[in-house]
Amino acid sequence: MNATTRVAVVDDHELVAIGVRNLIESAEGLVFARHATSVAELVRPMRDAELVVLDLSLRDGIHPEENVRQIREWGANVLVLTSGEDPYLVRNASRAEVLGIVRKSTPREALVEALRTAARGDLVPTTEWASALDSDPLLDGAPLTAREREVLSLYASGLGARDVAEMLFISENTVNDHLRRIRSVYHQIGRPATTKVELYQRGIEDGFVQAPRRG
Amino acid sequence: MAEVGPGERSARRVLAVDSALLVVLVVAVYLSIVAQGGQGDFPLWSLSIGIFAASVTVLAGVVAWRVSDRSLRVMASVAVGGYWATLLTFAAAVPAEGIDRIPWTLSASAAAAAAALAASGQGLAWVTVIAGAIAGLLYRTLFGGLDLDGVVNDVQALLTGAVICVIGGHILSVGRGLDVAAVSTTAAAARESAERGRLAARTRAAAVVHDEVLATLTLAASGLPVPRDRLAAQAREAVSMVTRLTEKQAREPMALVASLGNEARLHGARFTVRGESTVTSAVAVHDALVGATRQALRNSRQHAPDAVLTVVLQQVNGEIRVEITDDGPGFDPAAIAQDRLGIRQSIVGRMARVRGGSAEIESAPGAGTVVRLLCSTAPVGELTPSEGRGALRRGVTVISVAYVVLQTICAILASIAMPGTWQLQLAVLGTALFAAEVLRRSPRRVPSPWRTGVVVALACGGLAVGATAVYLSDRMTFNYGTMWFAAAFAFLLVPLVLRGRIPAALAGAGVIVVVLVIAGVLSGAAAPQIAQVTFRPLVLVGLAAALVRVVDRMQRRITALHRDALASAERESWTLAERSELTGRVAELARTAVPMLERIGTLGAVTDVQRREYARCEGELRDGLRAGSLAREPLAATVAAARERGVDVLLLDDSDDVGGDRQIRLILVWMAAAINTAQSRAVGRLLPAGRDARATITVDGRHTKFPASPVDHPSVMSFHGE
Repeated sequence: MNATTRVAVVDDHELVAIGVRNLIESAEGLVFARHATSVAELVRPMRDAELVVLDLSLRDGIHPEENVRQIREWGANVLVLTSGEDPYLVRNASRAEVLGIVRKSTPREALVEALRTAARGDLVPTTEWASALDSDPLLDGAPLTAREREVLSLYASGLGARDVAEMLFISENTVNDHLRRIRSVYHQIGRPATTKVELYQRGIEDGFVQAPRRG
Repeated sequence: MAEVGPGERSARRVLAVDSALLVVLVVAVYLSIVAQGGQGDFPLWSLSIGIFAASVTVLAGVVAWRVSDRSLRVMASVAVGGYWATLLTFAAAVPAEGIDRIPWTLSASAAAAAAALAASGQGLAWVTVIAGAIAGLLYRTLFGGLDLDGVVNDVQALLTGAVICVIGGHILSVGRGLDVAAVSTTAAAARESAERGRLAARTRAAAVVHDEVLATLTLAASGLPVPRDRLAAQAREAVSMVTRLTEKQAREPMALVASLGNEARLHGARFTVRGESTVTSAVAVHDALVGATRQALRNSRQHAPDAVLTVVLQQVNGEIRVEITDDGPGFDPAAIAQDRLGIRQSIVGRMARVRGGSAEIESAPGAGTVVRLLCSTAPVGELTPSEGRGALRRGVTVISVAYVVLQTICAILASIAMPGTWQLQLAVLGTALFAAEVLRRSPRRVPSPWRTGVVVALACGGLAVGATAVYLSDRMTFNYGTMWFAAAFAFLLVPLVLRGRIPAALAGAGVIVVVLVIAGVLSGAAAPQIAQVTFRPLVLVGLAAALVRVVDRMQRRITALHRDALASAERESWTLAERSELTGRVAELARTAVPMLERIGTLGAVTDVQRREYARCEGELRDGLRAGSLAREPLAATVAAARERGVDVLLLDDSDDVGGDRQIRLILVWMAAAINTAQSRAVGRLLPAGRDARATITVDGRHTKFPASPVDHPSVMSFHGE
């Protein structure tokens, strides 16, 4: 995608918004759309951003999961920015559809790179995100392959995609494929299922359970 | 008088109903005798007193659940007064022509005893029972009726009254215990919810402040381009928020664990908690322990600056023990002047001033110093089980002794009154006492079914044999005196009831009644005579069973309340501990971050060195949230140094448990060595249980594992610098 991506910021701190804005404007292919202090304030009838940079813990106390859901419904991608919050909130956001969870204190270049990656609609896997998932007991029973678990664990220990690829003698693209699938599995198990039938149906839908065949 | 609780009020009501029931039964039996013309003609005024006393007692029982406690006690008092008046005026009421024998109801004091319990308590009840027995014997001597029949009646009445006093007294004390339990449960629940509220408020406040400080430092440290003046303003705002919060929390109590941990940290000492970690203590105890610990640590630091200091907190058997140890040069305690303020006043004196507190100092030149602080923990409210059990046991002992003595007296009197029957009397007495002994020897409170069976069989069999002997003997007719052992055997069933064998005891009472009725009918005794003999065993066992049921129900409620109170207290101490931890964190924040925020607030130019300092501080705050067991020395210092070199360090604790202290220490040392070599990025992580490694460290793209071995072995060291 060569066109410019409009980026909105949702954060309690105006100063953070100013900082992110300056960062966005210094990056090629990104334009700053708007700053809002809550998701409710952001979501207007006319969507004016393709990417939203969301603060993980907003003071209105609304859970990240809910915030992400609303933004996704609105039609924008979400990149979450944190100051280093507890893994619970990180998992909470990860269960919703976020492209990545990035620490605010990440070095400037890495932050810009994360924004550009997210603007392309690509996954921004970070150590914090991976470790929150890797240590989530919910994932114990999830249908992940041994290789996928290995990738996640290495990623959670601070290695980048290139390092992981080197260690496992696979390509960087394969690593990224694994991460995408992990993200999607995690997203699935995070969805609340109210009945066993629904759970089963979803299992078939997602390919975790084999559909019954005639004959 | 103190406010009366619902438990005590219910106990009084039960006793009033009890008293009324007894009166109704006594009057019924009495009337049946009067109908036969067995009593003398008493003047109207005397009869009126008796009728009045009986009516008030019955009325009190009927309205017991509808009137206030005060009214009930007044009515019960009047009823007791009526009984006493009957006793005292009896001599004056005796008709001039004299009477055949005094009415047996005179000494039937059980109803009055129950009323006395409701009106006042055990004291008045005992006095009333004894007065009834004395009056009975005295008037018999004066006006007639001092025969076996009469004396046995008085003696068994005395025993019945004593049983009522003991069980009734127990009901009252259980009722009071119930009230105490209810009050302390309510108090505990209130404290708990207050504590929870405070925690919630604090958590919110601390989170906001933490967030503000972290955000400011992040902006100051990072390359995010923001206007300087705006950042300075935000820094100043953050400082004032931290200051406000620390001022507010300085006035609130803290958990001992958190306070001592804080002191230890401030003095560079190792802090360990043994046993339960939620040690709660009264404020006075808490302050004394913390103050004394601080003084001991300060002394050690002063005299042995390089010594290794440790603080150990331990709670054993209701005693809090804090031990402050240093391996410094030590000193001779005897050589320290008695008036040296440091140790004397601040440690020993401070501990001596709290209840159950003490301190001892152990030191010798070259052997280091140990300061031991001891404090007994005050009982949590009045949650100790009510003292009722002890009182009940004493009461049962009194009854047992009285039983042996009084039944022996009855047997002797019966032998004298009916010459030639001493073998029978002795055999009956022996059987009764043997059964009582069998029961007393029961190793458990609730006797085994076998033992219960033996006691019931002895009581019923003994009675059957005795009654048969009376029937066959031509020297004995069926009456209260000759059948004295009917009550003696029935009394055996009362302790059975008290020891939880109610159905067996009731069945035994049923058999006894049947035997008595058959014996009476076969002997051709009049119906009132049979009723009189049957009355006491039936009432005794039935009433005891009913009262014990009431007590059981009350005690179950007390137990439930205690359980609730305990659960509340436990939750409260957890919340308190949690809040204290939060307090400690905010204090730490004030210590480390505020100076930096103040500098940011001054608007000066930012150097790279300063920026890295901010980054270090920001990293430490982040570690407070996510690094768990890793946020400790010796790793913390290495990480701080690395951050000041500009290395981006991330510490993650994903382990479920803290694990062995030794192994954690090895991991910390191992990680620190790796981070020392870091150039740009380091991620240290403790892994969840069940992985092939305990921890990993990734430094500039190089990945190393700390193997998951249950024991720490030296091969771990080979990972150094890998």
